[in-house]
Amino acid sequence: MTLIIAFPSIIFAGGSSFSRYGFGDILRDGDSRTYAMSGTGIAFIDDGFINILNPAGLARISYTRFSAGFEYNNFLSKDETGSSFYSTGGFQGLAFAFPVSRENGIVMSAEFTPYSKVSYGITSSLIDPLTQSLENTTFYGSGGISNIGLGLSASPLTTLHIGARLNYMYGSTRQYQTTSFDSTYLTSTTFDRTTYYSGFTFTLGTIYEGIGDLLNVQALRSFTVGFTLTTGTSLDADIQRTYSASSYSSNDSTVTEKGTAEIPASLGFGLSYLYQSRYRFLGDVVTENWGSTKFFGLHPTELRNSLRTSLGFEALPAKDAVTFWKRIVYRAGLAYNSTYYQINGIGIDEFLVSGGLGLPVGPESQLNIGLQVGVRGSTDNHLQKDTIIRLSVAVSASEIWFLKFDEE
Amino acid sequence: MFRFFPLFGIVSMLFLINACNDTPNSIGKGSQPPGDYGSVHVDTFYATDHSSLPHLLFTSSIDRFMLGKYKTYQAWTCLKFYSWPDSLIGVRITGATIQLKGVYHFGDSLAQLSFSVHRAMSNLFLSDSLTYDSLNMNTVNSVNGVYYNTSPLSVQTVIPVGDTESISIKILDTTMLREWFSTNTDTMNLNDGLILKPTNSNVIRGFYSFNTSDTAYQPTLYIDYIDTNGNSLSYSHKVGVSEYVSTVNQASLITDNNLIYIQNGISYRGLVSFDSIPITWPLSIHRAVLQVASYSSEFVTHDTLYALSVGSSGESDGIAFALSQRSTDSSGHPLYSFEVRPIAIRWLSNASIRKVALCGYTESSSFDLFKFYGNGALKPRIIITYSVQR
Repeated sequence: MTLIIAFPSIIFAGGSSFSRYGFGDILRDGDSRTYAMSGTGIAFIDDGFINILNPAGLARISYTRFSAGFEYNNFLSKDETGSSFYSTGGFQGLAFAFPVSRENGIVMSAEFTPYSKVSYGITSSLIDPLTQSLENTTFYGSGGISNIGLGLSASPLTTLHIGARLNYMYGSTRQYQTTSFDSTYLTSTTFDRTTYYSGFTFTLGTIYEGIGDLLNVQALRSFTVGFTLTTGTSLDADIQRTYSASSYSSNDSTVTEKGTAEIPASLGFGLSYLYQSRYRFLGDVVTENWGSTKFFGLHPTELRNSLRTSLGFEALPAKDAVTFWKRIVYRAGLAYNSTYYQINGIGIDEFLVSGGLGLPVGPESQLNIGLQVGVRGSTDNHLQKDTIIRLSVAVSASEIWFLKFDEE
Repeated sequence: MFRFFPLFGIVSMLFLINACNDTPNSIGKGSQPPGDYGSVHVDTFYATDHSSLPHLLFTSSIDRFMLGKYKTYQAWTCLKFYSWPDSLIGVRITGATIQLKGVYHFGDSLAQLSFSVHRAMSNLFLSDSLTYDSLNMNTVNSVNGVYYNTSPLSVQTVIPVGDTESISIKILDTTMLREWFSTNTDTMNLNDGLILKPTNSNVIRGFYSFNTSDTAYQPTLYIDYIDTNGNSLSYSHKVGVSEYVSTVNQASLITDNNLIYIQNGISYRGLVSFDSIPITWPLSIHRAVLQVASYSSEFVTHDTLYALSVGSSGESDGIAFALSQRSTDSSGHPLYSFEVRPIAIRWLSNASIRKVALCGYTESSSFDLFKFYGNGALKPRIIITYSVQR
């Protein structure tokens, strides 16, 4: 556990170069269960999972539950000059929740999840017009932001659930650059820019299950709506620039600069409908106002407002299912993400389809396998198009911990 | 819950094995911000000041010493033989000659070399601070004759010889020699060596010192003696130390303040300042070339210079140096170029002193004279190739 927390994501350059901007690729897939539904689940409340998307969704957890998983990413990136294949693997997240009062829906949670990820490597070669020397430059990007969240839910009404989560966001993004020349007179150099972030955000959420009763429509009794609001914040940001072998004693020269990097408020709305207690349909919309955020006092022109819409579907087993095969859960999803990237004047959009299985490995435990396939960006205006394949394998399990039982 | 941990571990290992196998290539280059590329700049900055400063030479460790006069130049030699064998104690000396092997001349090669030989009266090799001025004054605290006995042991005149010919100096003072021989057992330290002081001559000659690797060229003291059994014997001795001190009339050397003078053998070093380099630090320096344009040069035996990083006193701080390469600029001026990236980095990163010293490659072993333009269009410049990354 200690090791996992110390290295929340593998530091490796091998992914999409879009992650050069902002905080990198924002990860919003929630729990391993919602992963296979394209990260849809703001209005999702159930006993069988820890809702990372909405803390109000914790309220129905009746046993101590944990989930953890790994993710494997493939990027087939293509631009006007060719294509290339990248792959990375990394920790997907860890969550832990336990009920304090099942009657009142009071559940506490602790979550450790990656918020963003930077991973890319690019080479560039050109004849420098001034030196007339071939200049070879390699860029690496790595790192990302992680989130430690402490959540709490409650159910003031049987149909109304509320939740809150304190998020501590921290991490670093690193851009590392090597430059060499074919001229022996010109000394190769490296440049390392690492930015360390830390700060807090606060997530508020609610799920309301009483629309059917409110409207007195029987068909809507299994219909729920959910809202989330995560506050924006200005993360403390310390940028450290290191120039190799550039001091008079041939050591590195390092300069640091303190500033802030803004994360905008995130507003989410979700719907959920459970049909015949077996088929769940989900829909989410999340919007974030990245278009006015500032990094070190300046707005990066490569960032715009983002809007993510997604649909999810889950087929649950019959209540009387006993065999392994009949207890498998099937999931699918779609997502269209107007990402916060806007590069060379072109907004980068992402389309995802997903599917997955929940394999029973115990009475209240599942091995969740999720697959997401998508495309992002375009090759217009010298940009690149990513074909993305992500595979997630995660365990979601429960134990009877922290519960009081009457003595016989 | 713990029963899931093995499964968790296996899955994580499979993922890690499959990941991390990519080599960067050019895909995605177009989506990188232009500022990341750290565009290369090549800027030229010109010297803001220059001077020619005397520099104290440490000549006891080099492979030659100098002796003679030429114009206003003078070079005096200090020579000391020591570590005598006990077998010489008490012998009767019948003859003694010092032989010096020539290696160099500065001035009129046909001129006679005249010098007087004096007995040194104090240990001149205890420190490297001996200067021509102090030796010439030969007075400390109003006491005359501190460094050497003003009455010469002999006056020598050497007829013109080639640079590599040997000269001989007869030592007639056998009492002095016996005192030298007894210094192994005598606590009075009666051996401080000799001072060779040039008189009228028009040449400075260089001779191999004890530091030369070829023992055949080292200064040698030949002793003819009769031992206590009455046998006539000869002995040659090559153990010793030498150095030289030198001077030149500054006014006759530095005649034009627009020029930078680098005079070996004295020495004078050029000091060039670059106090105006408006580059914001930090950045990545790929190359820095210092260029100085030659006005003229004289008596050059080795056409190479050093550029040295210096401290606040203008003296080398030993941190960085560069050797020159000679070329010709577009106007036909001889140009000396130095790769001074470490020095430029030092200037830009934290040094308040942005100066560089120029000295001859054979600063201690020749009297080469270099003159460089210090002002005008041909004044020293530094060309810095750098990338700016923020």
